[in-house]
Amino acid sequence: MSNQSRRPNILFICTDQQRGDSLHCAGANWAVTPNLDGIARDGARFSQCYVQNPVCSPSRASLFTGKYVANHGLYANGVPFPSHQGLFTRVLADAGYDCGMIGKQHLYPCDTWRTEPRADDGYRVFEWAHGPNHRALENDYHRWLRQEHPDLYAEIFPDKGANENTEYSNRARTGTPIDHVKKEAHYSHWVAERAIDFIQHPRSDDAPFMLVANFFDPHHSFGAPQEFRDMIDADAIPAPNTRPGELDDKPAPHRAYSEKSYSGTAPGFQDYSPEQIKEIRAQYFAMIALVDYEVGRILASLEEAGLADDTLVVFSSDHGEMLGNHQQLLKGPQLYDDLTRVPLLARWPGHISPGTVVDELVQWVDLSATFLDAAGCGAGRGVQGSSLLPLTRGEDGDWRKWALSEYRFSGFKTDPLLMTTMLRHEDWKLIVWHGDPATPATRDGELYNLVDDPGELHNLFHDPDHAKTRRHLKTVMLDAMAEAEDRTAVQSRAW
Amino acid sequence: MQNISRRNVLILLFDALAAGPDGAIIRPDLAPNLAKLAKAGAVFQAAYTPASQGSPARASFFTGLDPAAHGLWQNGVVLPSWNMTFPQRLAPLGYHNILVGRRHLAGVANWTTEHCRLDEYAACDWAHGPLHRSRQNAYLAWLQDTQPEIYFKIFPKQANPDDTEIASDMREAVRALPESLSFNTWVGQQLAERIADCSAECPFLGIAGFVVGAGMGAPPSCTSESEQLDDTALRHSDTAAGALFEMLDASGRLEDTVVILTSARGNCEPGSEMSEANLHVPLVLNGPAIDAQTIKGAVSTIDIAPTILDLAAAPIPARMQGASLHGVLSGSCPPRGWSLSRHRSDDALERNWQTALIADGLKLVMRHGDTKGACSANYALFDLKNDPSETTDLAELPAHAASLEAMIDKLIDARCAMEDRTEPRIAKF
Repeated sequence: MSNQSRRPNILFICTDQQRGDSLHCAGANWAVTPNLDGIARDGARFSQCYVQNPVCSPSRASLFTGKYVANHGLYANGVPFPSHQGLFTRVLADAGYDCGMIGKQHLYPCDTWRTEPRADDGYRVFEWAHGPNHRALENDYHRWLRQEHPDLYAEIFPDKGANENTEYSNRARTGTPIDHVKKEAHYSHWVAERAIDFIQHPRSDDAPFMLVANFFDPHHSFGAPQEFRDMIDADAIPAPNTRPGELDDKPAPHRAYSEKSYSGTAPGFQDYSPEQIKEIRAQYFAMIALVDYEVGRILASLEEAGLADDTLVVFSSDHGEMLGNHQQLLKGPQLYDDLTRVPLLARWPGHISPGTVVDELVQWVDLSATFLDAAGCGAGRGVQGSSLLPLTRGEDGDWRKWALSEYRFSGFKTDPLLMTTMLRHEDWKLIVWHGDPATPATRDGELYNLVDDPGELHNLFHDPDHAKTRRHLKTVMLDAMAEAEDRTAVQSRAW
Repeated sequence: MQNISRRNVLILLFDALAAGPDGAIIRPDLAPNLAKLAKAGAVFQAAYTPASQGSPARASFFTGLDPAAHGLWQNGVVLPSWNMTFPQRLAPLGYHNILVGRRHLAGVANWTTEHCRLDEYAACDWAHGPLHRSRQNAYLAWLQDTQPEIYFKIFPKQANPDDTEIASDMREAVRALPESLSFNTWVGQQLAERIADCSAECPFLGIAGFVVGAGMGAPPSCTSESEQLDDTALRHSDTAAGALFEMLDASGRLEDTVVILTSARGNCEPGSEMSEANLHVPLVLNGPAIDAQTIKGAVSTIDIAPTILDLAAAPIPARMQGASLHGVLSGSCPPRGWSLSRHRSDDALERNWQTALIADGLKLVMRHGDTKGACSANYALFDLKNDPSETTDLAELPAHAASLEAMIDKLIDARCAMEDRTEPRIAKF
C-alpha cells in the first residue's frame, strides 16, 4: 500500500486541565513548549477549540462517545460511564487497530482510591493511574515507581494505610512531594516511558496503532520538578486577568468560587497572597514545560521507529484552569474561556499542511469523528461530532457556527445544584445560569463580546443596551441545543 | 398481603385522541362509557405529550423518559434497546402483562411487523391497525379466521410491502365492517379474554391499544401526519371499553383495578404540530382509592409510567424522568406545572423543528431556525387560560414582552431539566 492510502497510526496526547492559551505558539511567550509548538508548526493549530464540559469525566465522556453532555449521560464526576454508550476506541479495535490507553482516563468514579473499571474499550494495553497521588493498588504509575525508584516511593508513600485522605491533593495549597520529584521519577515521565514502549511494540505491517497517552499535568496540585520550575520566569507571566469590582456584576456563585474552590472543599483564590498566586502560575507553566519535554521524547521515539510520517498526532486537554484569573482557581461551573477553551494541535504529514491555523469554532465532540475519519472507519455509531480533517484542508463551507459547553453540577455538589450552559457564536459568548425547573438555583446570566472584551471582564447580560443581542443569543442557544440533540438512532422505516 | 396493594392496571391507550375542552373526553356523545369513567375518576385537565408524533410519544409513555433521553426521536426509529418499558419492569414483579392492538415503538412502514420484547408481555396480540397488512397483524388474522369470506372480499390479494397505498374502496370496506367485527371491538374482546385467562392470584396489566385515527394503520399521507378522529372508531372503542369494565365487574376484579385512559397525541393540521389539538391529551385515572377530582396543573404523559409503578407498589427506577402522580392524586403534592414538547421532522425539505413549553397558564411555541442561516427562529405565545383555542399570538405584543422573555428563559431551563441525568452519581469524583 502507498503511504497515502495506508491507515495511519493515531497518537492522541491529552493533558489534564491545560488552558487554551498556555502554549508559546498560541501567544504565551513565557511558556516553554518547543515540542508542542513543533506539532503546530508541522501541522495545524485550532485557535478556538471548546470542550463540552469544564470538568474531567463529563468532558472525557464527550471525547470517547462523540456526544454532547446532555446526551451521553455522564453529566458529573462520580457518575459511571453509562453502559449503553460506545467508545470510539472499540470501533478502531474492531477495525484492526492495536489500541492502548496510558495514564488517567476518568470515565468512572475514582474517589476513595477506587480502581477505574474497564468499559468495552477495545484496548490491548490499559496502564491506568488516576493521578500521581491516587492510592489504588492498581495505580500502574505507583507499580512502576516501586520498581524503578523504590526509595522515592517508600519516602513519599510510607505505608500507613491508604485511606487517610482521598482529597489530599485537591486540598494541598502547594505542590505535593510527588509533584516535585526529579523528572525521571515523575508521573509525566512514566506516561512517556510507557507510550514509547507501546509505540515500539512489534506489529505486523498492516496493523496500525491507536494510543491515548493521558498526562495528569498540569492538573493541580501546583508543583513541578525544580529543573522545570527553573525554566520559567515568573515575572514574565502577566498578572491574573481581572479588574477591581469584577465579581460585583457576575452571578453570585462567582463570589463563592473566589473564596473557595470546588464548592468550598479546596483552597480558593482568596486564601492566597498575590505572591503565592504568582508562584502557582509559575509552577503551572513549569508543569507544562515538563509535559512538553516528555512529549518531545514520545515524538522522537515515533521518529526513531520510522512511524512519524504514518502517524496522526493530536494534542489537546480535557478542560482549562482558572489560574487566578477572575479571582478564581481550579474549575467549577464557570464557563470562561479559561476553562472551556483548550489547546488542539494536529500533525499528519502529507495530509495536513505545515503551519495551518484553523480559526473555526470546533469542539471536543469532533475528535472521535476525526480519528474515525482518519482511520477510514466512517462516522461511527452514535457519534455527533464531525471530522476536523476537511477544516485543515480549508474545506469549511458548511461548518457549524457555534460551540456548546454544559455544566450540570458536574464538579463538587452545591446546594442548590448549579447548572450552566455556554454558547459561543460569532463574536459573542452567552452563559446561562439555569433556574427553575432545572434547579432551584437563581436564574442569571453572562454575556461577553469576545472581540471587545476577550478577557470576559465586562458582563453585558443585564445591560439594557444589549437586550437585543441577549435575546438573539438565547434563541441561537435554543437552536444549537436542538441541533445538539441526539438523533443518531437510525430511522429504519419511514414511519 | 402484598397483593392487595398491587393493583391491576388497565390502560386504554389511544392513538389520535385530543383532550376535550375540560381535559376529559372530546366527544362524550360518542363515548358515554369513557365519559362516565372520567366523571367518576381523576381528570388531569392539562396533560401534555412530550412529542408531537405517535411513536416518540408512545416511547415516552412506556419508558417515563423524555424523547431526548430515550432516543426514539421520530416515527420509524426503533426504541433503543437499552431503554426499559414499564411492562418490562412489572413482569418480574409477578404481573401478567397483556397488550392488544397498537404498540408503535418501532417503525412499521412497508407492513413491517413490530416485535415486542421477550420479557415484556405474557400475551401480546399486536396489530398496528385494521389497515396495517403485516402478516402478523393479529386482528387481520382473527378476521381471516372467523370471517374468511368477508376478509378475502376486502383483501383479495396478499399485501405488497413496496406498494402500501390503500385503495379507497378497501378503506371504506374496513370502515363499514359491522361493530362486532371492528378493530376496536376486537381489541376489547381479545383483551377481556386474555384477562379472563389469567389467574386471579396475580395482578394483571392490560393495555388496549385502540386505534381511532382515520389512518387506521395505513401509511400517513405524504403531505401530512395528521389523523382526523374517526367517529365510528371512537364509538366502537367506547363500547369495547364498556364491555371490558362489565367483564371485570362481573369477575370481581374491577374493585382492584385502576383504569388509565390517555392518548399518545391528538391530531392536527400539518404545520400546527404544537397546537392544543395535538399536544393536549386526555388523562383519566379511575379506581380504588382515587377520588373523583379535576387537577388543573400541567402534567406530562412521562409521569404515567412512574405512577403505574407506584400503583404496583414497586420502587420507581432512577431511569425515569417522569414524576409519579400518586401524591398529586392524594393532594399531598402539586403537579409538575409545566410540560415540554418537541417536534423534530426531517422529512420535509424545510426543517420543521418546533419546541413548546406549557407553564404558568401560557404556551410558548418556538419554531427553530437553522444556525447556519437557512431560516431563522420565531416564537408564538398563547394565553391558554383565556384563549384555549390559541387564536391570538401574543409574542409580538409589547404588553407581553416580559412574559415572552420569561417563557424563553424557562424554555431553556426546561430543556436542561429534561436532559438525561438518569445514571446515578455514586461518588464525588
